Amino acid sequence: MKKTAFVIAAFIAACLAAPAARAAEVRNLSLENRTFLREKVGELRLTELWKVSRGRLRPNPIPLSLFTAYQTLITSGDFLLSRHDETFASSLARLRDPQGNGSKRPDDSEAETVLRVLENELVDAYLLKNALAEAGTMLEVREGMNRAALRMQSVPVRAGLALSAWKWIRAFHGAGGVPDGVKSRWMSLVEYDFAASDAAELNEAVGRVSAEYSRLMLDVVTGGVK
Amino acid sequence: MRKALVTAAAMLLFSSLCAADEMGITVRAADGAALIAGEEESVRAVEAALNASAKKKWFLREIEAFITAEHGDRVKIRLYSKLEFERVGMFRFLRMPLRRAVLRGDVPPIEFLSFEQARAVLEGFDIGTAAREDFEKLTDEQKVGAAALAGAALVVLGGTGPDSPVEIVYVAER
Repeated sequence: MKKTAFVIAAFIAACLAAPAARAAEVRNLSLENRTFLREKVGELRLTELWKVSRGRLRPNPIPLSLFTAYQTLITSGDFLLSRHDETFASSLARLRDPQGNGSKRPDDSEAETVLRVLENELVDAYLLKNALAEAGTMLEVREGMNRAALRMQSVPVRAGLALSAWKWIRAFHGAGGVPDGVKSRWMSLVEYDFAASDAAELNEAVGRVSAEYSRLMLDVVTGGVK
Repeated sequence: MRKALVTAAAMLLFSSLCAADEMGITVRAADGAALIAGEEESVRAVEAALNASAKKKWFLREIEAFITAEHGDRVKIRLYSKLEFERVGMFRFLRMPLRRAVLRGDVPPIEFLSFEQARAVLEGFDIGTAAREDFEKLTDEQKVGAAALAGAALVVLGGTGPDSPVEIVYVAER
């Protein structure tokens, strides 16, 4: 009897705990971004002014790049955040169909793992707290936001390349017969660093990783990788 | 239609599909045409054997049986009935930039490889490769034949850059 009561109590406790645990995981990332950016801009506002005026109240000319970054962030913080949100939403939508052919999500564990890794990376790129941790000026904040947006845009492309390569690797070796060497090399390409500060650099980075995938495929068909 | 015969040993422009010592010929039959490709020596032997045969009227299946019996696996054969040969629409074409084709998974990743390397990758998957400038010189019939002989599909490459045009020709199975 005691044992039954304990089991029931444990079950109820589990039921009660489950929604609480789920609720604890829910985070308003947009609000976190907004709060973080506001704090960061507030923190930098004084140091930037100090820097440009050398601590004196005199009409020193402000360097244009700093002035632009400063003005943009002070007056258009919300606008920049909304663009950041749009980039995230667009990348997330494209990540649902990274190959752009309406195909369903892959049903094998490796591809599923890769998609999860890239989804996590997308969220990581979205969080300004990570992107702006080192920013010491308004200009660096603005550049950091730009880099984060480019990183988010790269995620669906990386997913498309990874899934395409995996499809052909599986076709060559058979579903269960992909050698570990091939698998690990493929996985290392999925985790390739895409740090880019402008669209041209992003394009170059995608080209570099695409060339690596091509070399992997060449090695796969010629037996150059085990 | 002349009876059994190799009316045109039209050398298809397989230079882009085959290695330097390979060739292909079109053999016409009463009910269509057969495309035969392989090493030059083997293909010429097939051609000579067909020409030397006393048989007056060949059908596609007879040609296939004859060649298979005489030459086994040394040559590749594809058969086209008249109906199919005329219906080029049954071949599905996809045209897009290479990056898009790779992302869609229509071709394996081959960006930035040399043409020969790209050909090696594609052949690993039983996909034929042709250079765009060579392929565009072919007649429609030759294009159909080239695609049919290519394997699972024929990829016509305009280069291996991300924006290079690529054409993927799928052949419907008979």
